[in-house]
Amino acid sequence: MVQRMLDRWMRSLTRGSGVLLIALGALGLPAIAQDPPELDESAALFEVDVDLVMLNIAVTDQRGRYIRDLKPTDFRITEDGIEQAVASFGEGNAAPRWITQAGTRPIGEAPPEARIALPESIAGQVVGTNVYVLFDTSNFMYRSLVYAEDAIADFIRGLDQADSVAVYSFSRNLTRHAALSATHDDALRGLRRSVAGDETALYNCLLLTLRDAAKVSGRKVIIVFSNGPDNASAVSPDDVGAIAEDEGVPIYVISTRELNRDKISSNAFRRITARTGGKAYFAKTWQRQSEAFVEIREELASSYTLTYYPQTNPNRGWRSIQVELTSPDHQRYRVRTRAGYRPKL
Amino acid sequence: MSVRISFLPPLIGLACLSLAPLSGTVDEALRLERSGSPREARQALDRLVESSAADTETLAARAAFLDRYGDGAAIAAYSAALAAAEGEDSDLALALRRRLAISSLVHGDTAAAKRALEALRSEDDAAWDGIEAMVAATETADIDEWVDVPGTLNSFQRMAALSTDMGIGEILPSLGRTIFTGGYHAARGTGALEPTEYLKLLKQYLTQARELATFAGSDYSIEVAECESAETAQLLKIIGYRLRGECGPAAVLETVNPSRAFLAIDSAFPLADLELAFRRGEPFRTAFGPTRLPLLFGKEYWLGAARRSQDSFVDTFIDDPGLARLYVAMSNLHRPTAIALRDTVPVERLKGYAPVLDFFGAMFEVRDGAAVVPGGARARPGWEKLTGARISDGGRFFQQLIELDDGWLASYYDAMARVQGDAARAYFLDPGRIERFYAAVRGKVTSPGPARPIFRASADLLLLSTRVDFSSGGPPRIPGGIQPWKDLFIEHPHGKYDGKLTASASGWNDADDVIEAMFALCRKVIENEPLRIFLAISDVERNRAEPFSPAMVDRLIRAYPRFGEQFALYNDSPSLSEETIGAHLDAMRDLSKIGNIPRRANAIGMLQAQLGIWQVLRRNGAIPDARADASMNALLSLSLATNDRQDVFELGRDGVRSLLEAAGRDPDESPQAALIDLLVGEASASEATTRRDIVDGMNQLLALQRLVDLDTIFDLADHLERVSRGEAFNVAMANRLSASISDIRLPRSLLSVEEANAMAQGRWVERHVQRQRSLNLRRAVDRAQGSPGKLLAIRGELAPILRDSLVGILYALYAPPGAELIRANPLFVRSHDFLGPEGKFSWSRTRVHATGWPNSGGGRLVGSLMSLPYALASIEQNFMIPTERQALIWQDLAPQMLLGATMPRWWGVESADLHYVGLHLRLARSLLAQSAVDSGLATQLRPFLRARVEPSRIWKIRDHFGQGRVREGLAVMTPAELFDLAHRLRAAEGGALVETGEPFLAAIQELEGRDAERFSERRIARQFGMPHPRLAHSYRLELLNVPLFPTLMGYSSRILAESWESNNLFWAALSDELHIAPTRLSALIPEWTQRTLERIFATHLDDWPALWRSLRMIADQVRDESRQRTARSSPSGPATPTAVVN
Repeated sequence: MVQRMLDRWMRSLTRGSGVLLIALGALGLPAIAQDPPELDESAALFEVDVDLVMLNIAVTDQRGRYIRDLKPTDFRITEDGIEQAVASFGEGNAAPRWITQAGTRPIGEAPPEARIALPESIAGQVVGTNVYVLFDTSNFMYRSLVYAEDAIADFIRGLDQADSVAVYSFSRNLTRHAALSATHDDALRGLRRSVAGDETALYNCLLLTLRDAAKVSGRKVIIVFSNGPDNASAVSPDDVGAIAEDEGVPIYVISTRELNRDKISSNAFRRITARTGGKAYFAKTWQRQSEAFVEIREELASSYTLTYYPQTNPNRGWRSIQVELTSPDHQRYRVRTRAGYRPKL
Repeated sequence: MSVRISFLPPLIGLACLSLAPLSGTVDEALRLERSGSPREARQALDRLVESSAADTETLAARAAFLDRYGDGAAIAAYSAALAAAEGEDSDLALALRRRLAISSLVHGDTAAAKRALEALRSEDDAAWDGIEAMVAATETADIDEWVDVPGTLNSFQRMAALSTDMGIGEILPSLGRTIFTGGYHAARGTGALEPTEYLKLLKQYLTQARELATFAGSDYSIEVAECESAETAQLLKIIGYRLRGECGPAAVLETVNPSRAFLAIDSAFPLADLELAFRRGEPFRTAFGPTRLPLLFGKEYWLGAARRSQDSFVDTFIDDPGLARLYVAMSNLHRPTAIALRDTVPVERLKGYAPVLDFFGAMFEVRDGAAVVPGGARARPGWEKLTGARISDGGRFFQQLIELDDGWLASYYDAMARVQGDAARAYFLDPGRIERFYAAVRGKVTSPGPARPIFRASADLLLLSTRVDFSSGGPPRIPGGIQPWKDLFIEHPHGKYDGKLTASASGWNDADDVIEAMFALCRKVIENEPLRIFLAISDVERNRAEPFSPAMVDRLIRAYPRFGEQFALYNDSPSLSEETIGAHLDAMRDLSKIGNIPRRANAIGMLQAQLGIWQVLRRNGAIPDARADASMNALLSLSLATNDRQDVFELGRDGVRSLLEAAGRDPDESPQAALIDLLVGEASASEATTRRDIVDGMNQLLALQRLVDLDTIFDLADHLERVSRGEAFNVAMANRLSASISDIRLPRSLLSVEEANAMAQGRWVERHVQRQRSLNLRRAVDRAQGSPGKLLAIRGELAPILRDSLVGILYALYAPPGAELIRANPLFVRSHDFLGPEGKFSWSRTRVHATGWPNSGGGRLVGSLMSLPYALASIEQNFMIPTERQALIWQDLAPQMLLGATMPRWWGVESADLHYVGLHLRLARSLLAQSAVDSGLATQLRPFLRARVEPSRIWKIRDHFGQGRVREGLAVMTPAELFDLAHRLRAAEGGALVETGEPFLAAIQELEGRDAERFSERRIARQFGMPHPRLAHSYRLELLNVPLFPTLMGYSSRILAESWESNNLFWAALSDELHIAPTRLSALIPEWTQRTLERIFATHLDDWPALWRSLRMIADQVRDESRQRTARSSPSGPATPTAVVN
């Protein structure tokens, strides 16, 4: 019932403005159905001239431990040097809240700028992360396929109940084994349906995964588990990284190769994860791979989700984003998020 | 109610229901149909039938209507009409019952068909003679023997890399093909065959499956009652897993034996369900019975040829690639021929010739013990002489055929059996020529034979027998006469082909000598360049009103190696003069000589983009025939002066003006908008929405590529001209251009030194992009210091920008569905490399380069723009997401399919055009279905089928019919074959088909009566054919009606895909059936095609039936979607689902 109400409300928005739909997506609303029913012609139309930028922010100390319990006021965001006001704030899988002058308010209520209200009943739905697992089944992974599956299965089992997960695999083409779902057993079944493949077109398939992720609302991340190197993609890693950056989807890569075994792939992994606010792990043994998954899971539970409505900015090209911690006590911490984005054409 | 049709012969009566004026309301519905509103006509008929006043006439009219549109609901409609007609009009009732029977057979409703046939048998004295057999038929094939394979069918198919879509009868032949093509490789050093990793895994799987079968026991069920049990330990040991944690919610399965675990996962053992059962404390159960597969001829026969006989037949089979190949060959033969060979040749001996049988056996046919040979009785002496065997002994004849000359004779026979058309048959199958041409093919040394490789090495014999031009109806047309071809061999300007032919060429006198030389080169291992040249020039000349002069042919022959790829330009515009073609050859030569590399790339790119646009405007008629020559000449003359950058810019700007002028556009229009408008083509008001979507899509791609629109470039150039005359420089205008360019994202700038150093390739592309980024017009104007000449020269800086904008328009036009790379890589268009390595690729086909190099900045295209549509489709196929496991057939097939869906625009197509196609497919299906119960009709159809369809497939059709599976039998024929069959039947036997062709024939004739030019095979070929850049050297839509080619290696690997001409015909018929507005075709066909490609589940490279299956599956999905939409919009709720075939 809640989902139906949400769908109806979201569809009504699509009639008026795709922009706000994106904005609300950024706030962590659960994924809407891929094939929505017919539009309700009687639904109200909204004209909302806003855009909303979402940032996933990981804050760590010098030893890489996650810093929790920060407040909205602890962050200062600038875009092309222009200071931005935080619109919403959330930590881990807890429901994010709007930031207003009067304080915070539940995300179930629409932002004051949009002058619309979400139904109360869906307020509790806007939590969790949409996790896309992209799993390499190419020839390179053949020998270690079963261990990789075990590690991914452990990761899925350990996800927060609020998280949704999709399992895709790739070799030359992408295969969707389990569509995005909050039912983790479906993901496990999908994972165990994978078949060993041939060539490795990691970046092509990462792009297609990004396209899927971009269609759903809410916080989302892509976790790539690959042995590399790519030998079949037509798209470059940096182009994929740029799109992920624009879409605000952090990419995490767990490479089962040693760091220096294939420098070009390693560098590509590091570049695309860094610019999207994700992280690259080079884990040759399955124990290290499991540790990497644990760390990613911890990061999902510990990172912050901030949104802002960009101040007037004539730059239609790439806009740089900087996030700083305001407190002098926090200056020793490291902040990781995407480096910028390009507004949609 | 009294109806006129009761006075007419019954079958004519049904025809009249669609044509003659009937009662006011029915007539009104049919008038709606004729006026191009079949959906409304259907709704009107539905309303009439739903009303209580529905009479026999109305019911029959609705049934005939549904039948004409291939709607499965026709069965119920005929039943209702029949119920009303019985007792009222016996003639009409008989006619209705006949249609009910045939329609039921076509749609696979066996029960309804049998009921109608039984009733016919008792009612009709002149009932068809095969009714009794059809009624008695059971769907159990005549199986020689069954063999068991351990484990479930699904697991076995996964591990053996077999499609799960295929029927069980196809599994062993498909497995056999996979075994000999991918199961073994030659060991290094010794050359002995060793199993590949694939085969090792398959064997290991069979071992594991046997252990699981033992565990499952006699009830074929793997059961574990509870987590903590001995059964659990035993099962987990077999599948290579162990329990981590306690039984219950914390239970987790993890790998302990990776080899076993991999087999379990790869064979789809339900591991997740097992784990879930342990976590929930529930029992686990899964079926695990053996798979039974039919075995041709029984085990005893095959074990006689086995290298090493084992207990299990499957183990014997996969251990012996020779045996596997023989099994494939015999399974795919015309069955009576296979039996004749089995009974004539010992299996051990036959095994030695399995590759020849596999490659060349499809056309073998033994009928009543005798061989049926190409050319019939006239050619019989020739074949008997060549084989040394009598045709009357079919088994012996084919034994000789496969054993002689290392397979060359069989390969020649196969090619001759596929010759199409009376003139070609009369020529090639002349007894004297059969021997003469074979002598040329055979030569003196026959080794290596043509069946030695895993795939056929060459398509030359097939191309020669199917693509030589016999359009004059007489001997083959030799472009330019004999002399240019003699010169080719004597002077051999491209290198010597064959010493013997060089010596003999001076004595050539007629066409036979040239053709003989082409045959002689067919057996060369090297590429057969003379045949390529011959076919390319023949194709160009085929559609010309005047043949080429010998001098022109000579020039084209000499130009072919460098510029042959560009000949398609002449083919798409057959009215071009020889002077213009000569000027084009000159221009290509001269532009290639420009020393300055960036300027050469820009000039070549600019001209190619303009000619590419010109080619589209010629194809879609925007530039009429009368202006073709002058407009191309205008573009070419501009290219003569490219002495500096400014000239190159002028070449581009004046070329655009020239194109717009040739297309009759207003010179004051926005050139960008006008060009896109022209390229998308002229559409009617009703097509405006679809057309606007296409234009918007193109503009979005251009924006994503950050290309500067032509208006901005030309405005700036004009402004610079004015500045040179003293006007003040407009900084805002320059900034607008700079803003567009500076926004280009350069991913390579992020590369490390090491990566950048690894990128030797494409540095000119890099410079091309960098040059644009560094353009600073304001500074250039300042530096010119008011000098008019220098100010004008600044326009040359715009040349690379203009080139990219023009090239980008073509990229956007030909973008396949998805266009992921264009959307993802903002430098994709700018990265087009018009020179290629060593500058040698400027006029060659478009190639995809730098894929799979993470350090390359992404794939890009290299070469000319001539095959841009194919290259774009080729690169896009890797972004498709298969719904099943990866389809091996894609590599060569998918780009061609995308090409056929994205190149045409179906503007101006009307419902009646779709109906004309649909009626032909349904006419052919209806006749074939009737032939299942009517031996007279079957005999009548046989020569028509035999002319196009291999005997092995004809046998399959009859085999299905014999088992009562008429629908499956019909599915053996492709839509293109059905369309062709209907046309040829009508042409040859139209009068004799009046009764049997109802209700389709009358409707076809009615359409042709309206407009004979519009409703013709030629016109339909132009609307719903496919482009054939390799087979016909043209991107025009055509139906070549060639036989389906086998998978071939190298150059000709695309030919199989091009010989598949069914897609657009199939989509047209589907649209007709569902009453889809033709205005939507330009959007729907690309979407349907992409879905089809994503649904293909093929097992091997020859598996075109997988494509055909996928088409039918997507059609069923489209039908369901259509039905759901109808149900949502209908107040009475969803319509009853019906089984339909199209």
